[in-house]
Amino acid sequence: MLSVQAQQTTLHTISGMVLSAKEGTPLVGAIVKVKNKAIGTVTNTEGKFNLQVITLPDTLIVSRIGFHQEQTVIKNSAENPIIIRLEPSNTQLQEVTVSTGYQQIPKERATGSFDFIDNKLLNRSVSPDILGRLKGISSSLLFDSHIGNNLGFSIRGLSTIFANSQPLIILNNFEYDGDINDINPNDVESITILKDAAASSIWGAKSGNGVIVITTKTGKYNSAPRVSFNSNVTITGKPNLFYIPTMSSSDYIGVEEYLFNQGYYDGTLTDPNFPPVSPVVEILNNQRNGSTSASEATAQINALKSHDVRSDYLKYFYQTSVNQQYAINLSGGGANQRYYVSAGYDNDLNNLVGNQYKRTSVNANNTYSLINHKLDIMTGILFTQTYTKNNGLNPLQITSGGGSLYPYAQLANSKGDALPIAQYNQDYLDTVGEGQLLDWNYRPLDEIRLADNNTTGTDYQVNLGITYKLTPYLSVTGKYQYGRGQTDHQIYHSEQTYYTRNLINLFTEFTPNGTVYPVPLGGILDMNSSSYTSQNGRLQLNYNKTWKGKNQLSAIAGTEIKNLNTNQNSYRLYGYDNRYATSTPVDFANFYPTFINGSQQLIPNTQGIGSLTDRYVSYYMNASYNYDNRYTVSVSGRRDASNLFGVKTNQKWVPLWSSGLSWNISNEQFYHLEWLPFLKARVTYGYNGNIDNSVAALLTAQIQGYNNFGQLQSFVINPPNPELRWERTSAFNAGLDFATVKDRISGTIEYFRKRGIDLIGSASLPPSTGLLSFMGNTADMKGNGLDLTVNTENIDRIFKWNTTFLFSIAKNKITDYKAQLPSISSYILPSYGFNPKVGGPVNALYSYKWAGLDDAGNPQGYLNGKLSEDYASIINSSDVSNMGYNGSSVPVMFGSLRNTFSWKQLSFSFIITYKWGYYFRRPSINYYNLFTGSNPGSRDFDKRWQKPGDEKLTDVPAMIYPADPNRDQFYLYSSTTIENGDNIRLQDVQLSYNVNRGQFKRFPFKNIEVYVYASNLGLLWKANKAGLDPDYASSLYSYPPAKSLSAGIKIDF
Amino acid sequence: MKYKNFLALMLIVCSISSCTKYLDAVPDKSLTVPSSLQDLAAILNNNLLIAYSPALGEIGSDDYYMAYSRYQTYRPLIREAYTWQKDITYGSLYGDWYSPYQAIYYSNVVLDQLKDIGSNQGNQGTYNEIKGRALFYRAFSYYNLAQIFTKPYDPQTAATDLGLPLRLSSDINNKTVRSTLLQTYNQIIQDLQEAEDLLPLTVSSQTPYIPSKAADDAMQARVYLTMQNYDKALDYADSSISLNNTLMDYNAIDSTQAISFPYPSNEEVLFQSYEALYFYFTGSYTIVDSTLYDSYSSNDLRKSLFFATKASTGTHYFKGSYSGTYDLFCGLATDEMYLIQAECYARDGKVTASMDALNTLLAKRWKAGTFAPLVAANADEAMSIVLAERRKELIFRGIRWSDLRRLNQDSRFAITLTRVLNGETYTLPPNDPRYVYPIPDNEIQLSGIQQNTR
Repeated sequence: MLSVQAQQTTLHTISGMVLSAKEGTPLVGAIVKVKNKAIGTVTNTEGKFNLQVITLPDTLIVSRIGFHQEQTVIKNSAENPIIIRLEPSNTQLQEVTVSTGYQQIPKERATGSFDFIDNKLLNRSVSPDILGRLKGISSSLLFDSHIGNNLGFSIRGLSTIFANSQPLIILNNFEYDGDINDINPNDVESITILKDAAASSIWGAKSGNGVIVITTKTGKYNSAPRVSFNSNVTITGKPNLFYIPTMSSSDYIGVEEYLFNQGYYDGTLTDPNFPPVSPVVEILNNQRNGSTSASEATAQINALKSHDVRSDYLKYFYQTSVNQQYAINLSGGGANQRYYVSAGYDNDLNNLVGNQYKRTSVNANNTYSLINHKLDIMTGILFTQTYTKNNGLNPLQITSGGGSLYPYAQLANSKGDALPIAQYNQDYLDTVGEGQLLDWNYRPLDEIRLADNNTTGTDYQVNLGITYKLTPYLSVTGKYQYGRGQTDHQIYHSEQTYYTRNLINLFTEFTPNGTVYPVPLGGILDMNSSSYTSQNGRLQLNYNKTWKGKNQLSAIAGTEIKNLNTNQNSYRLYGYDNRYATSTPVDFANFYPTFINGSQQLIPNTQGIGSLTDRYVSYYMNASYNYDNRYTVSVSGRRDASNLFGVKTNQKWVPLWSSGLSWNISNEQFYHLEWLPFLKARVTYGYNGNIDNSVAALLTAQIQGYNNFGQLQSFVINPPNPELRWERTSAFNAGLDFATVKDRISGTIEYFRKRGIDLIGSASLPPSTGLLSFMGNTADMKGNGLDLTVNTENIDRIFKWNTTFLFSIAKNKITDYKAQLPSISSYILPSYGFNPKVGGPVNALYSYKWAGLDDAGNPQGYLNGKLSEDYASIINSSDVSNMGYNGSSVPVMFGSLRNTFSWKQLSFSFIITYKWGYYFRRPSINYYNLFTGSNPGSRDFDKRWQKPGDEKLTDVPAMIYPADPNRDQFYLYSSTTIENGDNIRLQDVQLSYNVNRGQFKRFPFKNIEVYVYASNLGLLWKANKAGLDPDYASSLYSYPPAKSLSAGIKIDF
Repeated sequence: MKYKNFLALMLIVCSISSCTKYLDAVPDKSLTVPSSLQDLAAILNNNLLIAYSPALGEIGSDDYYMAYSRYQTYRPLIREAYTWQKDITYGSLYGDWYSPYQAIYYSNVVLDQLKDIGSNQGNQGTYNEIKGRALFYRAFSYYNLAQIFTKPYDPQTAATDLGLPLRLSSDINNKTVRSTLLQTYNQIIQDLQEAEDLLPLTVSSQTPYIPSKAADDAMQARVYLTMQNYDKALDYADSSISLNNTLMDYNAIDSTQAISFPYPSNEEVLFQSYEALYFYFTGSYTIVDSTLYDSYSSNDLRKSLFFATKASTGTHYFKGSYSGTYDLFCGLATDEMYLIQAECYARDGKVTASMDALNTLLAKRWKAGTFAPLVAANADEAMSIVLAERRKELIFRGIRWSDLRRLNQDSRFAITLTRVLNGETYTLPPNDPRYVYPIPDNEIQLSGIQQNTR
């Protein structure tokens, strides 16, 4: 009895308070536990706690997100109240509030998968646009040219086959309808990436590809005015055009000589349409006519052999690009008001001579808090003006009469004067019109000087938000955004430009009464403008209540309406005189004989007008209940309806929902893993939607201009499909968040599975139906993957070394697809469109099976299991055993490694990214296109089979005449041109140095940061032996950008 | 306050179920659910598609040849068609099968939608014209398909020979089956007859792709001629001529132009159709058969208006298209009607009538004052004169292949075609199964219809 009594009397009450060591403010929600015992509690809103302990002395373990764990030995209760100070930690797991665009959620209490990119990380890199800064810093985000959407990246792989695959971009509260490049990155505070259904399904029918929420900067209440200035300059060299594996000039000339002797050009030389022939063909023709002697011809040709047109390109068409960025902002706030005002200016001189981009942006927002903080009124305006000068001529687009330019072309003489590139037969041009026509020569170099092509853009978003607290728990929010953007594109083709001269000449007519110009003399002015107006409105109820200290409910419900109008119009003025802005009317209705062959044509009319309307009405709700900082349950639901063409209203309403559960295991009293003070498990499931505006439920036709006789004509684009539904993706996500003692190692691991249902897919139809395919909800797919983020603090003294390792897997597989494809080529050739095959990924690479060259240099494949050179039959075969699967064309595994070293005020970091598990098809020699001049010819020509025995050394087929396009197609799309895409890239390097007032007393600024940043640094390692960067290997026209270097300064006053 | 109004409005808009109206806005103004007659006319205005003429027949015909060096530059389909190979590799060039069916689909879409719109007093005129056009285009496409992908029409066997899959509704779920050749031609005739009274009487030179009754009768004359029903062919040729008997006087045409017959001044055109563009007959490398060229008298203006001479080789090429461009004209024109009249009369033993019809045409083709009207001693002689003139007048009009298929059935007119390339000789005897092209593989694989034996 005595002993029992003795024990009871030693029950001690310990009370205390947890404070932030840095600011001294109380910390809410810190976990206080007794070491090795199932006793623990959480600090209240004042940071205070009470605990009953049986024996003393004992050790208290105090932990909180964003702070280092602290252990305190308590000897006796007389020490009450115990003050425990926690040191803030520097890692990712700092308490963050993620934004869904509808509400702010403390990440700690979230069930869904959010990735939060803070301001510091966003500012680590230098770029004129915001999205480019996400490269290599977020798991699950894959930037790759093979993804095939306009933004160039995906979140957790693809979730659709044909529909829009772009993630949804939210600016603060609403979908951003403008050009993403209009957003000044200096105004962005943070970015939240919503990855799973629980995080993103609140965005309903547009959330299927993941959501990116961009949050812009605002002022803070009760803070002194603060001015910050940031400026940098980025220099990028000329690109390495010699990277492009095209044929050498002498090889090309060799082929031309060979073809000339075969009589290949005889038809072209006498064609009544006077197509151009290359200089070599002309020399050879002159030699054959006897107008040039053999020795002279040889000398002329030899002179051309040594020339590579790319030297001219680099000399005259490219320049070192210089991008300047300036940004200044002012922010602050009083007790009832906070504000943020900024201005930014970018001036980019492009790599192409004649191209320039300028952006001016102004951002201002203001929040007033009235009636004892019951009423919040937020106003905001974001204004951007851009100017783009597009006078540059991408030399890879220079053609000779529509064909690819011969590699020995000379664009300037030794004095730098522009030389012509034939667009018609030169002999013909030299004699035609007897001096009555305008000069008919095309001199690419002059065109840069003559070009007058510019675009101005204006974009603004006006925001108004009102929140009124009805009760301490319940508030109502109204938000409205008006957005408008206008882009005016103007091209003035003066009379000196080839475009105008050619058109005037083409229509010139010599009549007995003199020369008639149906296309009048003077310039041509093309004007295109597009604009959008968007209105978003939202009414939302917010409920937030905590009761009995341990129960916390947070819920929102609302309705949203959106209207987006996009208008486009274009017109053209002929005979335009820039000085007086006068023009001459022309007759678009009647046919005029054209000069070269007399065929009757209409004068080109670019007049057009278009108007698009997108309307949505949605209802949504989201609720999450948290118990004791241990368990969180969340549910979310949304219904969307839109004016998507022809879908019956009742079918348009698509309900999407999600639910989730999270468990802070480390907050349990039984939890005692000291080395792992933070552990949280999450699991969610739900549905996201996706939209394809290109399909409609009713028969639709599209007006596409005028027919040959000037009558309005339309195309049937969509057969009726009353069953049409929106795409849905179900997603399951399970994640684990963890941190070891002092956050030495922290991170997140997540596994996800997705299933795409009712995806828009194509089904083949026999051509006798008058259609080749039909788009409907015919496909299903599934996907799964993994996202891993690990942060480590390797060294944490004066010298610090942090590492962030990101690793993602994103796989997908088509599980149902209705299209019956006529031949294996439909899977293999990109020109057949995108043809998914059941069992393979959406972005699959298939190829003809390759069996090497035979002893005559002809490629061999397989037809029904046997060696075959019947290319036509292989290509047209419908037996899938005649083709092979090479793998995904999009990386299946990817990630990055970021190391940051800092010593005192100096910081150095670099990012290495890697992509794994994918393949690409490299370009190679296509003899048929080489002969017709539609393709520049590949350097692989050097490696072609030339004599028996070569088949053991090379896979490049022999050149044959006549060329067989089927043989070329077979070779180019066989497995021998497939390369492994795996690579490791040095994404960027950053160096910065900080000086602040803390160091020097009289220092006039609060803080100055000087930084240097380098990007486009190239690959560290690649699997392919062809010397190609897989991101820039799609054709004989692709090349990587040159290395770029930035330097900048950021001053906080 | 304006913003608040919007919010209030939003609430009201959505709480009352007038959301439906808000969501009824058309998402793209250029998109239409074709519901008005204007919408349907726009579908039929797609003239390159709706009045498509295949090229495979002309490629296999004997009015021209090409040099081996030129031959080698072509894709396999052209090379195989040119040399009458047993196997034909279509690859992606299956347009001669697909495009006419696309025109048929467009026509069916229009005919189906017309049923929903219904005709009334107010729209009768336009309604009829659109319906007539759709029926005509459908018949025109089926006829063109039949010349390439079915056996030549033989009245004895047509009821059992394989015809085309006949699609008469835009419902893509209808099963594809091949009809008999008789059913195919009956459908063509039925459509043309129904269209006959719906169309305007004569062509407008501004919109020559819009058929008229004159064109419809001309088409029926052509179809009946192919069916070897010469009585009916004559009736319809007569009827067409009674509506439009214009013939151009070639004396008034300038032979120095690169293109002899500029459009729209060409008054003989009843219906405009261009030949498929994947094979270019224009230009000096498509060489006119020299015997054929020599058969034009030097006083025959067609010799200089139809042909140009390539200086370097002395060979001749075609420049006499009625399309106003270098593209071949495969539509209908009045001159063909005179030739059908002449042939039908000759077959009926009416020698004078036959020669009168022919002379009416030729008088406009010869140099003024040089033409001596042709005379024939008997029906056989009349036939051979008429057929020779038919070939000369309708050269490169997409008609020769059909004529070969039809005339070969009569041993008097049967000929074997021969080509020589690089020392190798290729021949195509009369009535050879290679006068029927195989149906492209994708059709066979997807619909399972029976392939032609070749």
